[in-house]
Amino acid sequence: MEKDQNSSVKPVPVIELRHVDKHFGQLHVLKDINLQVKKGEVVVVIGPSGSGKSTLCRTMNRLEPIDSGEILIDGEVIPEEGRELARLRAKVGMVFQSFNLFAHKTILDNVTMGPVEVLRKSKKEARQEAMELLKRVGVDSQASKVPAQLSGGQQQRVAIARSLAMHPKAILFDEPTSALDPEMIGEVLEVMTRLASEGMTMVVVTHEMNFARRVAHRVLFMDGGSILEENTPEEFFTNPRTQRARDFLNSIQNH
Amino acid sequence: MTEECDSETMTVETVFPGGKARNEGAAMLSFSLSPCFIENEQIRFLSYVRIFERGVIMSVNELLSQYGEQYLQALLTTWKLTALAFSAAFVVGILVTVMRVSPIRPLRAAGELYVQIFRNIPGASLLMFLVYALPYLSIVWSYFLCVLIASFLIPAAFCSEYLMSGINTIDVGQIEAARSIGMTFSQTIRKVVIPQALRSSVLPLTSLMVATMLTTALASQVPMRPYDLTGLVAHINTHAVGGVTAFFISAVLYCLTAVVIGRVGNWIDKKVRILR
Repeated sequence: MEKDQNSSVKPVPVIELRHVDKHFGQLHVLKDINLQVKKGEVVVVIGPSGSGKSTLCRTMNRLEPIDSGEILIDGEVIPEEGRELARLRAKVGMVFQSFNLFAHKTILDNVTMGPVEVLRKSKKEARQEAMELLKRVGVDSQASKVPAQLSGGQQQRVAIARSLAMHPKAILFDEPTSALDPEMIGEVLEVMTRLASEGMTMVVVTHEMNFARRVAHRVLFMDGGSILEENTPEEFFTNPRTQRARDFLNSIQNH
Repeated sequence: MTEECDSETMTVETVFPGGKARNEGAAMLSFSLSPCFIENEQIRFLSYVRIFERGVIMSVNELLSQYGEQYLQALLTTWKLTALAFSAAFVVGILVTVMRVSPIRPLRAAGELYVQIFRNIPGASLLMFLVYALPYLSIVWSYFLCVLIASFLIPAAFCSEYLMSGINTIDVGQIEAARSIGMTFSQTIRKVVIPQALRSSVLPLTSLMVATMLTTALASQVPMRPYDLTGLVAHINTHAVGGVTAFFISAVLYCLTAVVIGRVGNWIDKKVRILR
């Protein structure tokens, strides 16, 4: 699996899905998904609940197995299991709705775990870098606490720092603000906005429409396991092409 | 099988096919089968009655002055057995648990089988098997080793059960997070799953250690030397009239040890408990 086609003529997409299909029992959750995410691109996935957007996000690093199709990271096909899968997963960060910090580790150790275990960095180097990352997301003062002692917003920012510590090619955000109290959503979105402006490749599943409008380069609208519409945020929010998207936007604007 | 019977102890020499032989003092298990033992018991019971009537049963002080050193040695033997058996149970319990959560089906099945077998065997049966059945396969271990093995194989199954319930308290999300930063299965198990399972099962494991200590009383069922706390009681009561007092002293020593284990367990639990 050489990636020598990585020339200036046609850059390899960071994440690519080819004809991906997935069922949960009878339910067809992903229907023939084709998608390319280019380097530095911010793709926001929106849609009603149960539309398959979270599943789509989780299949991108194979946390969910797929029935058919291919997923490529940096031009390499992700295998089903084993060390090779772990190696490719390390290239794609993931931020979860429920933060999922390691409950028995301090904040600092949460961030250094990946670099030390996976990238085989020295403890000292990993710690130094982790402190810089924690400073970047504004929780460096909490470094020696354990996750349960932090607010949700702080925990989610630590989770972002934990992803960043792996120097990922892209970060997947699976509804990163859905479990947060309203007053903490802003601080997390702010970190994400900064990341986007620094050129991080991001796939964001979210219900934060203002964030999508401001930050996204491309909006995907999903329903019933298919990508129904792919558009610029400006076009999507002012003049959606599909009726289903119009209905969805109307329904959330009424609140 | 040849038996030699004198008034107080019995020497049993058992020769197993394959040429191996056990010949280590009195084999108490075989007592229960021999008519000569029943006779002894009746005589002993009658003599107790006579002694109670005269009020000459030994006091705690008398027992301790005469057998104090042996009690100390028996306590140390029980401690040694407990420490070794619990350590082994702990290590085997972790291994079995890792097998039970592994993605490889035969390993999972083997782990389950281990727990199902050893959770459901009485310790005495297992010990009897090790002492009296294995020699038929030309495997003869010392009594100490047999007792040790019997008193860790069973607690290991329970250890695994406690760890499994500890694992069930871990949010699946944390395992997904570990995998998403590129950790392999074994890294996830070693760095995320087992440490948390251990931290949340300190208290059940403390009880398990006490239970393991009580299991080592199996040593009294074979002629193991030096005696453990229970074996010593049997010894004293065949040589002197310790009666219930001899049991009482051993019981106090068991209890004190259990209290210490419990205190240490609580302390460790407070230190490592995971805030949620």
